[in-house]
Amino acid sequence: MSIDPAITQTLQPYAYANGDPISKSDPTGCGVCDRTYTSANGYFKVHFWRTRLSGRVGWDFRLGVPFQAWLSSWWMGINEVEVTMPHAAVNYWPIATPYGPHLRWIGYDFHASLRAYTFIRGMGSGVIRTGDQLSLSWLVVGGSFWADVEAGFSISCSVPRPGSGTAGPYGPYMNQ
Amino acid sequence: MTDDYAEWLRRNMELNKELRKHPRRLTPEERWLLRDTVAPVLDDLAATGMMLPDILEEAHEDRGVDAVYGWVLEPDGMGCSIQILKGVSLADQVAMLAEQIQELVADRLDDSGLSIQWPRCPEHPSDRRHRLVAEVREASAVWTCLESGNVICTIGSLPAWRDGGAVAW
Repeated sequence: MSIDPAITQTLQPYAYANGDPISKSDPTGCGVCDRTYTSANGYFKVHFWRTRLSGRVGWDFRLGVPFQAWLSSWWMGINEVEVTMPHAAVNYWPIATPYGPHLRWIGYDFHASLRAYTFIRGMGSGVIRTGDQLSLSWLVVGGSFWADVEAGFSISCSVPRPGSGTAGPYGPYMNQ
Repeated sequence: MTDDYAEWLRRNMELNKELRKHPRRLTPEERWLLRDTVAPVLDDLAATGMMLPDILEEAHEDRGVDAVYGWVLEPDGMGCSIQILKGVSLADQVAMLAEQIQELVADRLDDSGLSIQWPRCPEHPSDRRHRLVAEVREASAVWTCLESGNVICTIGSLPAWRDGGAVAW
């Protein structure tokens, strides 16, 4: 449980949970990290959950079918991409990104989880808590003989209670 | 987002773009840190019958923290980066790296159609949702059971057993 980072505007420490931070987490804000978010053009999908025992926020990131089709078309010829996370923040403070470059085929389920984090530029560290505002950005880079592609997607959502959402991509084991 | 951070982010993205094209060879000090940290995890992989990953001593990224990076090269030409934070204890480094290697192993096991739980928990051998968790206890990097909280062994000293068949990297 944490104080609303927007307290300077709202003057309410638990506004994200309508003043009830024990049983709720951000019911009306910019989303909770316990569901799937899809970009407007269908090019990106990110699914979130929070593990029951270790309290990790898990995510998996996929390229949408339209994007995969476009990348692998004969005029693009891109069948593998590198996905990185150039920016990540907790309560709007930038942290060292918890995901290194992964070079994989375009249908791959890019996934990781986050619990402990380190602020960039030597500003300490912390552990994810319910109600924290998590901001993550993914950068997709691919290339072929003919074309280069760079595309990105960002999500900001609040951390739900442990055990929220449906674990993936390996099923129930990811909920430990 | 402050202008200062935006500028840092822009420069960091430029740097990473360059590292993607031209990975940086690790310095001798970085190489030793990578080898010392990876060694116990490789011992556990070998003890449990897993094939060992091909870890290149080169940095493909810079996340803006004091860290050493390596690149796990896979046979199909794919790969991913691993990170070892500097400024923390060797036990913390080993535990954090073990977690990263676990994810890679899970990927390879899943690709091979095998159960992805590595290392298997000896306290719950039949529970397919359960694998050991890398933690630091009393200044040592250890494998623990998440359900019971018990320490199973230090990382690098897993007992030898075949953990679901050899997996090719």
